[in-house]
Amino acid sequence: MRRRRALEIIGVAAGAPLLAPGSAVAEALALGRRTRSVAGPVGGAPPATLTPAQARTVTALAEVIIPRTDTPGASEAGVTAFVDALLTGWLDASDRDRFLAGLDAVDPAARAAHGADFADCTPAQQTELVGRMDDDLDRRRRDPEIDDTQTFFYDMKRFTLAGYFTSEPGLRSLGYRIIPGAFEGCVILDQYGTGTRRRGAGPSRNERPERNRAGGPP
Amino acid sequence: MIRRREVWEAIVVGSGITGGWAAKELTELGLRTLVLEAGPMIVPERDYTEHVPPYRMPYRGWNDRKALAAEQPVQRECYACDEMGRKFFVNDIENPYTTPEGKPFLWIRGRQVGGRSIMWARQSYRLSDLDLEANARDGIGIDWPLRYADLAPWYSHVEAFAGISGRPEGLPQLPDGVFLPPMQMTCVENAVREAIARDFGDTRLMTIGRTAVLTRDHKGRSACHYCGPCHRGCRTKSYFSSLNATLPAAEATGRMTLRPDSVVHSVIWDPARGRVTGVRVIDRRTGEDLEFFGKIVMLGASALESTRILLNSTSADFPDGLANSSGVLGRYLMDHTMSTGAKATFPGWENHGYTGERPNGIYIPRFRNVTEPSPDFIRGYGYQGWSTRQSWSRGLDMPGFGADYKRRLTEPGVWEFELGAFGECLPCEENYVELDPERVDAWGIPALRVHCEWSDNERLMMRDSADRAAEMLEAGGGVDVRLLTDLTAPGLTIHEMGTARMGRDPATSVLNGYNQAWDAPNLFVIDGAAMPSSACQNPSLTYMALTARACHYALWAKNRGEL
Repeated sequence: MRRRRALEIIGVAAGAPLLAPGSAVAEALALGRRTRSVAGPVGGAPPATLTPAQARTVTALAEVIIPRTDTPGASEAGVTAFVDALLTGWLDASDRDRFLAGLDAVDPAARAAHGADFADCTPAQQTELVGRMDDDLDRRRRDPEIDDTQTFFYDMKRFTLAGYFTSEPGLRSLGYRIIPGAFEGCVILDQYGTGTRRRGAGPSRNERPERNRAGGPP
Repeated sequence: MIRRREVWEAIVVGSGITGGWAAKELTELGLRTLVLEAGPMIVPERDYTEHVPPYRMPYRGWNDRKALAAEQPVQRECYACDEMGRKFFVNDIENPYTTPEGKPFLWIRGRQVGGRSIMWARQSYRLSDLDLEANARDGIGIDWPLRYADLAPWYSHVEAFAGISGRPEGLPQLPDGVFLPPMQMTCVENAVREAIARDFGDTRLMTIGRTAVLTRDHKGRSACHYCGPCHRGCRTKSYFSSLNATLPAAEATGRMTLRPDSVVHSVIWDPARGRVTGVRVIDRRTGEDLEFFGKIVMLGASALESTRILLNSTSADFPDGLANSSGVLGRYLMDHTMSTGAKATFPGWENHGYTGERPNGIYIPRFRNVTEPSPDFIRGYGYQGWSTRQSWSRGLDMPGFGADYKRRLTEPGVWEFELGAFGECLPCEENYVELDPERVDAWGIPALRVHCEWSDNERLMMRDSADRAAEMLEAGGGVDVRLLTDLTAPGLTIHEMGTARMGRDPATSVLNGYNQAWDAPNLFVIDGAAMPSSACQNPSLTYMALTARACHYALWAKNRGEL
């Protein structure tokens, strides 16, 4: 119960200066607050599943996958709250439990390798640990006998990507505009890679999480 | 039972594509018209959500999948039944139907003011005499009771009001219409179009999709602003729907009364006069039984719903359903095949892009058994297609993480171009609907039992469509060409039609060529139920034209004292 209440605060008031320093919640928010997190509530589904310690690990993992560069990173974009919303209301129980079990294995692995919880590892150590998970996922992806989607890191990566690229800063980085105003079919990008004249990027058929669903025509 | 004393000059059942058109035409012709809609009122300012960005959605566009599984296990198969759009699709628990073991049929439905015209895909094509003569030519089904010359002025009539953007191409199998300026193709689409002209120019052509989306301001509605998710509504009324266009026009006459939450149970038959006198209704919210009386009844509840109402309207004269003296009511159900074709990637265009979200794709009109005969099947298919650049979601299939990975995913990915065939489905007696002997919906009305499966002609046609699509994509420079050969279950194309077909002979058809029931002169079925063959074009424009024509005919017949 206490946990639920604490995590509601993460959702509703991330970054707001109302927490007593040193509280578990404040710790969980530390990373986000440093970059002035603007996660905000995720559509009315209050964070309710992750413990503060788990939230801290998710935030740190997501930030390694999509770090702050010249644009905000995953933690600032509110990926942790999105992951919690998925765990709370979206994933089936078996998938949720697999994710949480995988998440709970991250800190022991970090301690074994570097003597600290993942979130407390140095950036180089975090990169090394995530690199190991990503290499393992890639091996599974290449093996036709293995379903790579049934792994913690597969979910962690896709939740991070989706959470980031559907967030306000993530969409801004893609040049998304709610109302483009015109359709120009064939334009030369100013400079490939950095041009601003490119399509918006709302979730589309291709980004639907459940595969093999027939899409309709435009 | 509450009986309303008032006798309306016309009652229209349904407020979707066809109900909306009937409301507009009948009220503009001077008839006081009652429009009954089974679902709730939709208020655009309150209910449209097209501009809600992903970060305002609880699951960011990934859908409330548990709610979908619990409440909409059928509807969720439609791409438009998404996180924001799902409120425009029915609750499958309240609206059940059954299918026999091993014969899935996906019945995608919208029950609200505006019906499925809110979520339709807006592609708008005319049929031609190639289509309207096909049954007679092949000896399949029954002949259409009309020809293109009968329909052409009505196509023009509805296009001029609805606003269809497209490019005239002068093809006999796909007649040009009254068009607003066409939308643009992407660079890659232009390249494929040129390659098709070069390599297949004698027989094939690629054009921009013809779509009911405004490319300039039109009759008080604004030009499209290319935001993308049309299926969630459109505050600027830039695409045609009954909510955006026909119902406001009917409202403006002062002669329309729109009653939402009115689930029509059956049509009332007066055996003494040999006419229908109105409809029985169950109030969706209160469960109250109501009757409404009208001099003309037009059913536009969607093909299968209109047929269901007729099957449920039994009497001593019509023990097997109203207007069913022929025994064919419920038979000859069709849907277009979908989801076969090919997909390829197009290297070399990395510095080309596009701006905005085009609510439209490209179209390759039917060439099979038009300009290129097939030894394997009759009829044919047209392709819809679209090209896009891969999005960030490709990152999941890529190794990597960190700053460089993030930067790469911020850039658009490779170009992909997919061609998807829409194939004609032959009318077949074994594809039919009946009332389920046991299941009822939330209002106690018998549910439908749907029997439908593809035939060999459709399967052979769709296999061919994959090969032909692949060769065109290759010609245009596509690589890594993938054939798409899995057929989706019938119904999912959401072009279900037939079951109350029009024809020339009362012994083999339910309706005459004016959508008028042979057995009940003041009863009309104006939706897709009337179709005796499916052609391969998206059908809504044809339903609109048939409806407008039926309304004008009804007034003419009424004035002659025939109704």
